[in-house]
Amino acid sequence: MKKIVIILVLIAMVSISMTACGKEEHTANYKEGHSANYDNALLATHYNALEELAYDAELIIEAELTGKSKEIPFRSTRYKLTEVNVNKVMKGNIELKSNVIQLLEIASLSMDPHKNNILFLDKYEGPVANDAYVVVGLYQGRFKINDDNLVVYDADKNNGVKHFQASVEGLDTRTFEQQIQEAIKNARPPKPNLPQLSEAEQKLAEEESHKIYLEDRKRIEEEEKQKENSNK
Amino acid sequence: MKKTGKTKTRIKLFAAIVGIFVATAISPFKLAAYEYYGWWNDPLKLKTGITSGSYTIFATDGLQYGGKTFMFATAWKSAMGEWNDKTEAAIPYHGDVGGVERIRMDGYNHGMNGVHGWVDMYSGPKLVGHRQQAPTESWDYVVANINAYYLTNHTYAQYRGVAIHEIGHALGLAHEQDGTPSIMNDLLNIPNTYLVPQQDDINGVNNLY
Repeated sequence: MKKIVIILVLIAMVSISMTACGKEEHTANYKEGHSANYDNALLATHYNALEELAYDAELIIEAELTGKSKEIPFRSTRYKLTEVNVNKVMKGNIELKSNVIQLLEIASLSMDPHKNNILFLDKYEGPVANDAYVVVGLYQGRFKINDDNLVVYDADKNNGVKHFQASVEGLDTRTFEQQIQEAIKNARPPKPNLPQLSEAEQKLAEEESHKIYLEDRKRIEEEEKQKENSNK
Repeated sequence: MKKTGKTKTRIKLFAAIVGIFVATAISPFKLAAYEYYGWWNDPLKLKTGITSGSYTIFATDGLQYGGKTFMFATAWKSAMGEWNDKTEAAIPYHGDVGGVERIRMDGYNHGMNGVHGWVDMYSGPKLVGHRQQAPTESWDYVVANINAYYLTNHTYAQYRGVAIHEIGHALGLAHEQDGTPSIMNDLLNIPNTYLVPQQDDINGVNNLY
């Protein structure tokens, strides 16, 4: 009987430790000292195909980071302008070849300094900087080129998404460029980031949302009133 | 008799082993889908806890952008209210109690930066999770941002959902990707998923502190 109890306890301990260890894999990356933590960001668009990246990219280039960058404070956060040298233009203004352009990023989510890259870029619109580009999809449009001239996509190691990028990893740059040209020809927009509602459904959603707003305002005002009364 | 007794014991032992495996398979370890930052046995979090300090709102109600009027201040206040009401968190508004600011909430048009929202976490003056400084430590100050540029087609409830999601990060929840009902799910964009903290999110915060 004693033997049976000991065996059961040992089996229970092994089972529990196995299930607990199942969670290690997801969080282990952090301890190894990886770079930007893309888990802190809620992406505006998920790109599920090269054709979607190609659609939203105004400029697709082969580029080298020059090593120069500067930070720009903006309201409660910081942005970073990173200089890149354009070596080749695959889509967009070919006059940018051999010129330097600026990439704008949220500083805490900025790319690591790997030198050679193929970048899917869009012209930045907004109040933070003039004459800058952004990587399409925050990091989804950045493909590193390693010393063997092969494509590397490793944003997932920093908890970024990886929807289709595995299919281009390991390609040599020439093959990847061919695929990019095909993707440009067959470019299509990414899936919309909102549920596709009919006009009536959208109207209902707006009305429901407005009710929630009014309830929130009422609650906040009641709390403020209570606070005022308790201060008197 | 002896053989029958031994057989019965073996059957009982086998049943007990199966029972342990089944119980472990459906134990809270497996059911919990919430994700943290850091190691499972030493997760990273708001160092000062969730019952001290205060939050400030740098955003305002009435921001006009893209033909829409954003009520970011109300959204943020309500978003923090959701976490304070549903979890063990009790972080009050700085305007009411003063105290040390632990979470700053901002909402503005940041332009085409690729995100609906994001958080910057600090430990002292150091930006935790910055490119050259991997998030290997907990934080004592967080700036949570939402970006009006991508929210012009969102309802109030939807961008309030973004605010709730970002506060989830500030409190220590990472993205949830296994399909469990969660406001921390990031594989779908926020309007397509849950707009208030779900039970798994609540368990995640309560379990962390």
